[in-house]
Amino acid sequence: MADGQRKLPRRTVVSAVGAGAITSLAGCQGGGSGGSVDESAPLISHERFGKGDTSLVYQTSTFYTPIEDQSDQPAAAPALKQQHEEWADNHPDYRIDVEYPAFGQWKNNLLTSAAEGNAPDGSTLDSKWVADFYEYLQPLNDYVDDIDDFFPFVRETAMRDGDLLAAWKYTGCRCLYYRQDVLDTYNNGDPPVTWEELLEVGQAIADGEEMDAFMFPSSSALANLPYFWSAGGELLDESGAPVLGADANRAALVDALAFIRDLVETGVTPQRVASVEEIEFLPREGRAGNLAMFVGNNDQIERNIKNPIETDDEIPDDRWERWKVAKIPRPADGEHTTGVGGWTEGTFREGDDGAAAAMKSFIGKFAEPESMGRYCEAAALLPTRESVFDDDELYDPDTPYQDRFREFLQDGIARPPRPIYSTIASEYVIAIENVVTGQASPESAAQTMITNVADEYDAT
Amino acid sequence: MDHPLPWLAPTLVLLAVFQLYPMVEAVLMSFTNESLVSPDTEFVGIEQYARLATDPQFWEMLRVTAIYAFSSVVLHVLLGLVLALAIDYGVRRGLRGHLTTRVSVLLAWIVPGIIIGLVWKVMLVESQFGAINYLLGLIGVGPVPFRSDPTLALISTIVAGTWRGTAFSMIMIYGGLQRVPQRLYEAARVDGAGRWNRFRHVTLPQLKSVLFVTIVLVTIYALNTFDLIFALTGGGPGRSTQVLALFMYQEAFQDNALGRGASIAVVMLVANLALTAVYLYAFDVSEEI
Repeated sequence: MADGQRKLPRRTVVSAVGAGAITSLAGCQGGGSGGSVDESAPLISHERFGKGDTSLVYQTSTFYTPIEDQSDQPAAAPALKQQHEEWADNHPDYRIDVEYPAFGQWKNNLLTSAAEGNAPDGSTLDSKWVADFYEYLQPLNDYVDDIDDFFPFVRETAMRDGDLLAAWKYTGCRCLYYRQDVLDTYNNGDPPVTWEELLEVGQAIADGEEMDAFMFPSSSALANLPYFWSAGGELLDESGAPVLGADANRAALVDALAFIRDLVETGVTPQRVASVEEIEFLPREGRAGNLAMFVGNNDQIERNIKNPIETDDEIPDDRWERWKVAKIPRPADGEHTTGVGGWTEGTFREGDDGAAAAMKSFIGKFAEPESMGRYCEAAALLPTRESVFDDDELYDPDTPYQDRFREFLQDGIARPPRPIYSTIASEYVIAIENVVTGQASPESAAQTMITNVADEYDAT
Repeated sequence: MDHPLPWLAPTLVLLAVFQLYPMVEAVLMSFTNESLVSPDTEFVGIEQYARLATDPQFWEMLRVTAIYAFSSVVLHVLLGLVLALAIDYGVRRGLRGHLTTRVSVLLAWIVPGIIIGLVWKVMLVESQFGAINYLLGLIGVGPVPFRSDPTLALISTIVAGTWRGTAFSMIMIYGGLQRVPQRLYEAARVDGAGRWNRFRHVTLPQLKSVLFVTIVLVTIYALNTFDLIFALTGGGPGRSTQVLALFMYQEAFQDNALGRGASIAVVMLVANLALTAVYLYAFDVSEEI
C-alpha cells in the first residue's frame, strides 16, 4: 500500500458506523399510521390494506401478508391479496394498518393489551389461543354466513353462547402415514386399525425389516391426544373444569399411556421417540427407509414426503406414492378421533357500526367459502367448511389424499378451548416421555398428570 | 470534587433503574397472584412460596439444577484452568498455536446459548442424521440415546454447557496467571520446588481472588442457564433436565402465572446470593476484592 495513501482515522470510522446504526434504528421506528394515503400508492401493501382515511389496526404474521416478496408463504399471497382488494373496494373510507409482531411475544403482548383495553381492532389468532381471548373477542355472526357449514370442531371451539368469536380460516389434522409396500408384506396391504393390530403388525415389521415399525411425535400433545379421546376420555367438563380424575377418564388416560408403553416395550417404537421434537424428523426417517409408519400432519404428505422426493435426483419421483394415509389406530372398542388445529381471525372492536362493521367484515371474509377455498388451495391447507370441499371451482388442490383428510376431519377434536389446556398439554407430553423412558409407570404418570392439572386449575 | 458521590452517581442511577427496580418489582410480584390472562391482581402473602415448598416437582427440579450447576462449576473451572495453564505455557515458550487455541475456544463463548443448544441438538440426533451417532455408527456403536435417556440427557446438557462456558473461565484464569510475579517462581525454584509444588504453593494461592470471582460468576451463569437447555432438551425427557430457570419460564410465560414465576425468580436470586456468601467465606478474599 502506498505510503502517501491516507488512512481513515479510527474515530471517523467508529462515528460513521455508529451514526449509520442509529439512523437505521430510527428508520425501523417509522411506519406509523395517520393521515391520508397518497393516491398513487397501491391499494394493498405489506403494511396497509385499503386507502381510506379511517385507520383500523390489525396484527398478523408475515406468513399471511398478501405481498409475495414479503411473505413466508408466497404461493398463498395472491389469494390473500385478492381477498383484501375485495374488502378495500367495498370499504373505501377505511384502511387496515397492519402490524407484524415478533412471534415469540405476540400472544402475551396481545393478552396484556386486551386486558388493558388497548387491543388492536383485529388480529390473527392461533386456534389454541382463542380460549384465552373469549372475553375480549367480539361476535361475528352477522358477518359470517352459514355457520352450520363449518366442521363440528369449529362450532364447538370458536363459539360461545351462540356467538361465533373467531373466523377459523383453515385447519389441519393428524393421521397415520404408512408404507404401502411394507404393509403389503406384513398385513395384506391394510393399515392397522386398532392398537392391537398396530402392536402385532409393528412387531412383525420390527422383526423382519431393518427399520423401526412405528413412531409418533412425542412432544406434541395434539398428535397423541387421539389415543386418549379414542379410549373414551374427556379432558374438561362443560364448565371448563378438568375432569381427568373421574374414573372413566383416568382409565382412558392410563390405557393411552399403557399403549404407548407397550409400543416401546415390544420394540415397535424405539425409545428415541422421546427425543422427537421437530415435526420433519419422522418423514425424514421415513424417506430414508428407517421407518414404516408414523403419526403426522396432513400437510406433510406434500411438504415432507412428495416435494423432497420429487426434488431428489437419486430417488424416482413416484416413490412418494408408496406412502398412504389412514386413521390413527384406536382401541378395539373405541371410536376414531384426530386432533385438529389451524389459525383463526378475530376482532376486538365492539359494536356494529362504522369502523367496527368494517373490521368485522374484513375478519369475516377469511371464512367466506370463496376466499377460504382460494387460500387453502394455494397454501395446501384444509378448509374448515364442508361445502368448500364439494366445490371444485373453489377448491381443487393438487395435494394428495384430500378426500381422506376430509373424512378424518369429521372426527376432528380441537384443543379444548380453555386456558387450562396449555397445562394439560405440557403435562400429557411429560407423562408420555416419562412412560417412554421408563421413569414412570402408566398409572403413576397418569396420577402425576391428574394432580398437577388439578393443582394448576385450583391455583388459577 | 473529592467526594465519590458525583463519580458514582451515574452508575448508581443506572443500577437503580435497570437492576434494583426490576428486582424489587419481581419480589413484590412474588407476593401476588398476578397473571397475564387476568386483570385482577391480589396480594396473597407467602402463598406462592408455600406452594413451591410443598411441590415435590420443585424439589426434583432443584436437585437437577444443583447437579447441573455443581458439575458446570467443577468442569468449567478445571478445564478453564488446564487450558489457561497450557496457553500460558505456550506463550512463555513462544510455541506456535496458542493464539489459534484461544480464538477457537473463545468462538464457542461468543455464540449465543440458544444457537449452541441447537447445534448440539443437531449433533446429538439419535439416528444416522446426527453427526455423533453417525460417527459412532461407523465403529459399530449406537445409536446412543443422548436426549431420550434421562441420565444421558442431563449429561448432554452439562457437556454442551461446559463446551460453551469453559472459554470464560480460561480467559479469567489466564488473566490471573499474567499477574503472578515471575520472581515468586524463581524463588520457589531456588528453594528446590518442583512443578507440582510451584503450582500448589505459588500459582494457586496467587490465583485465589481470580478463582473466587470466576467460580461466583460461573455459578450464577450455571444456576441461571435457560437458553441452552431450552434449545437442547426443552427440559425433557419428562422433567429430567428441567432446571429452575426453565420452570420459571414455563410458569410465567406458558401458564401465564407471573406471580408464581416471580417467586421462582426470587428463590433463584436467594440461591445465588447464598452461594456467593459461602464462596466469600470459604475463599477468605474479602480483603483482596
